[in-house]
Amino acid sequence: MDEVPYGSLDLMILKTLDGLGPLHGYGIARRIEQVAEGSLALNQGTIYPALLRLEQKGWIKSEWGTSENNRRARFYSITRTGKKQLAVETDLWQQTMAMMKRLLEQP
Amino acid sequence: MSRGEWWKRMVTRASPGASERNLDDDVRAHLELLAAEHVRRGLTTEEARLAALRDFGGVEPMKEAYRDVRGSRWFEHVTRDLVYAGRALRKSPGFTLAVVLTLALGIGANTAVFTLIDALSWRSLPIRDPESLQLVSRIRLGRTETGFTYPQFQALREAVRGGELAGYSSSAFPLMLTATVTDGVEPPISGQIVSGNYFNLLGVVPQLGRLIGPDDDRVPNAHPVVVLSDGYWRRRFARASSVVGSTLLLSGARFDVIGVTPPEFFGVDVGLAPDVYVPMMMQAAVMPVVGDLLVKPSVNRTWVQLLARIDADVGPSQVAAPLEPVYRESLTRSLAGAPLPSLPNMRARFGYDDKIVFVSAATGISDLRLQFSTSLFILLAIVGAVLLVGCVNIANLLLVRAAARRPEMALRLALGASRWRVMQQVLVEGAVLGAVGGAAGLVLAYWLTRGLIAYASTGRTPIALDISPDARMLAFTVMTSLVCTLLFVCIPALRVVRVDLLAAIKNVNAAGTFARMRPGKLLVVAQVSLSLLLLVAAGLFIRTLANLTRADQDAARDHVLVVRVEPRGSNQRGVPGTSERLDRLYTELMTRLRGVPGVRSASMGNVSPGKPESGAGSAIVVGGGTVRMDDPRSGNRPITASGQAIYPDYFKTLGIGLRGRDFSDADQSANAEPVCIVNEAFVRIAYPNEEPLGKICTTSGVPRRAFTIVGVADDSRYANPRAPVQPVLYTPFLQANTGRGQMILYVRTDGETAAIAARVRDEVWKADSTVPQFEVRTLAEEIDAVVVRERLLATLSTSFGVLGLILTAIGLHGVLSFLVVQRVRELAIRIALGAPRVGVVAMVVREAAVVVSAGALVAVPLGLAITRLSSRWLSELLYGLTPDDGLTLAGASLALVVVGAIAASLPARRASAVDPMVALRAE
Repeated sequence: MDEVPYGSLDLMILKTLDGLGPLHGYGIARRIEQVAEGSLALNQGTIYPALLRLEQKGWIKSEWGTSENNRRARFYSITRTGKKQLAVETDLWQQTMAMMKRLLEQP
Repeated sequence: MSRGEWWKRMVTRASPGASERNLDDDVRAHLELLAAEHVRRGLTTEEARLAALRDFGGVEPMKEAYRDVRGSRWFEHVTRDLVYAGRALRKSPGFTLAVVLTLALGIGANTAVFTLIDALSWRSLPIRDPESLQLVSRIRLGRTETGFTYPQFQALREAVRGGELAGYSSSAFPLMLTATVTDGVEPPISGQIVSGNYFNLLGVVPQLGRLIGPDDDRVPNAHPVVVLSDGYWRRRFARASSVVGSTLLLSGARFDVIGVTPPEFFGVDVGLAPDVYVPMMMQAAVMPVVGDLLVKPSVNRTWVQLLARIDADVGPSQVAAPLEPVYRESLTRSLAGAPLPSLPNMRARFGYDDKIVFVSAATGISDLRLQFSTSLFILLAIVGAVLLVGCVNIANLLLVRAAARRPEMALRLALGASRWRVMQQVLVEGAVLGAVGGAAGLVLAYWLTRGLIAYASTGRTPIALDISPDARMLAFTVMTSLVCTLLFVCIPALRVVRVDLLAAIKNVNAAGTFARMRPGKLLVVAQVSLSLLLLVAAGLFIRTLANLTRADQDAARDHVLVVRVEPRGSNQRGVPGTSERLDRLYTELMTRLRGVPGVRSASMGNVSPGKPESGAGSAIVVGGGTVRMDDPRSGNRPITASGQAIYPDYFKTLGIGLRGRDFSDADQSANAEPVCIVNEAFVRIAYPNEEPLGKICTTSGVPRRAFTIVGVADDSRYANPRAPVQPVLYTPFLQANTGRGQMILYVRTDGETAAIAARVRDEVWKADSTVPQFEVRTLAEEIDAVVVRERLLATLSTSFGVLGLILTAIGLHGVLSFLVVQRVRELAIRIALGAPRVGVVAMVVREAAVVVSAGALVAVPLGLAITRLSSRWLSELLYGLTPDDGLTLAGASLALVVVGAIAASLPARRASAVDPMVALRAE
């Protein structure tokens, strides 16, 4: 699939940053594609609006740094409130999945 | 969202430039990394770049999404719209100028009138805690009056509990002083007499020196100190700080200057600003005409106004009630010696039943307010109506402009712009016009306000009002601009929303809506109605003014000079010898003036338009004898006539017709037979069928005097232009039975009025240079000052009525022209098919007639409703006619029809000149 379900992009970004520390946009997008093991081919540019939104909500913060190819770029990392939000969202997803599983397994 | 989030949003919104650059950096880094990845896999640089772009997805759409999240798009859009609007407006200067001018005039006029209302009626006094200031008043026979005598003030001041009282001289006893430093005549300055605690009570702090205090108010005539106002200090002493300690000669007495009041302080009378303040103990020194009112008060001279400051936890009525017995006791004491009136009516008239009340004085006290308040509100309605008419024109102009840009807007809509974005552009353009017009209006209002005040000040002491901008006035201007903008912008904006795309792009006229121009015509109907109402109002006010100032006599009012002459002690004719002294003084003055070349005649009387008789007439019995007045058997008929004291040549100087004979010098001597002259009104009542000359009439009062009528004068309204004609009994000065000896000098000139005025001033000064000198004015100026309110209403309502009419004509012309242009194809076809050109013209004229008649039909019931609702206020402003006066309505309608015809003539001509070949070919 190449369309990300609405709202799940935020969760993926948070999870990625939680696990891997400061990353820039390319790094985050690459990592998400990796984890999806090829089943996801997103338009990488779409993470930037998501990153801005997450930053406005205070769940991630950015710092200027230099990328591997010596370009100036922003590096994002998760904040404490971001971690809390990640836990909440993870919970929510798991509950939703459990409920859907039960629903779809009904005869 | 949380505050931190909001703050972050604001920050990013505020710096879109930086944010864009950051995003660019990020994107560039990302794309390069992607491309590097592909290069590692074996693609060429160029292929890698393209592959990276594919992986990334659309950059621009992503950036748009990014900007949406950032949230500053609205801000950018508005900024861009503002720039576009500015450019577009600059490109059509005629349109912009017309709109801005209309708005500036309308908003400026509204703001000016509002400022006057605010300054006159709503502003709090610039003193400490104005809300708790009260004016002590009495209710006598149902009417609220103010003013007390000095003993009453003293008694009340002692007795008051729960508050404090201070006093100052009332404007009914104006204090005019001559301040002389060198020889010569200066225009009189105004003064106010204040009690020792006046400034303390008001909480006024001096800007220089000190103010009058309780220690300056102990012993009569022992505290010759004076406090200057800021205005006088600026005018006379150029704000020199050395003024403190210098001496000022006021009406011949020396006073030491002790300080200056702050610039914003003007006392408590709104519209008057005293130049100097003196302590109450110095009253006799500065009021030489009236004499000493502290030591020898008169019960009629209620010259002290009382201000009260009540303690916070006490109610005004609690403080007022205990003062009534104190007041009554003081009244009894001052009337001691006179027989106690037994009739209840008489008791009330003398004040025994007065109730003491406190009236809020937070906005000051003002005679000016009573005089002008209603007129100003009516003026506000008038300029508001004109503004509405102007807004309609602007709306139509914007509509036409929007119509011309229909193809462009339709294209934008077709390309995907939201209707809101397109409408926003129209709104922004309207807002720019509104803001510029409002700002221009504010500037115009500044000048208009000053002009209005100057106009209203002709022929009297200049009106002093604080018209500095305050929050209320600015809020009014902003609100008015906003409302106007909304009014004239919403119609074109709504038009945008309902545009039929395809038809618009092809610039084809949809059959029906646009061509009929219904909203445009409806608006013009509204304009016509408002115009008609304005014209009727203007007509009513013009005729009122004409009725009031109609010259009954032939006197060339510009050639008669008028000046008050009030020598020392002239208000106390009761003092033995005063009458004779005054008579000698006056006679010498008149003789000197009669010798001046250019003077046709000179005389004196004791009333003038600016100083009318109070109207309390004395009962006169027609017939002689000592029979009692109320005895029906005697055949004597009592009438009430006002008495005027005059000198010979009075009627000749004023140009009043006289039959019989005038008074002569012989009539003034001590043993002459008492004679009188009466006016036609007197004759109409007392001698309806007989010849009055030679008859005798007797005045009431003690002692009874019998006069022989030697002359009958024409009715004259100079004494009081507002009141209907009263019966008048004229007597020579020495035989007049009045305690007031102040007179008014009249001088009739042959033409050189200005030069002779200077000479008159000199001679009056020589007669008594120690008393205040009054301005020399012409009779015309005096009458103008009396009818200033009517003049103001007449002039302004006419100007704005004409302006409204012009705007309506423009609006009508605009709509009709547009109609012709829109229907040019239809007209061309008609003409080509053989319709007579007259028929085409008739069509245009018919459209115009429909609009005008509809407007008139709407206006008539509206006008009737308005007059019904406001009849109370209107009747006080009109004279000699009622609001539903037929002649005025007919005249206004005629003017409207004529102007409408002129407005329609141009489009009609254009319609008749349509050349079918040209019109049908152009597409």
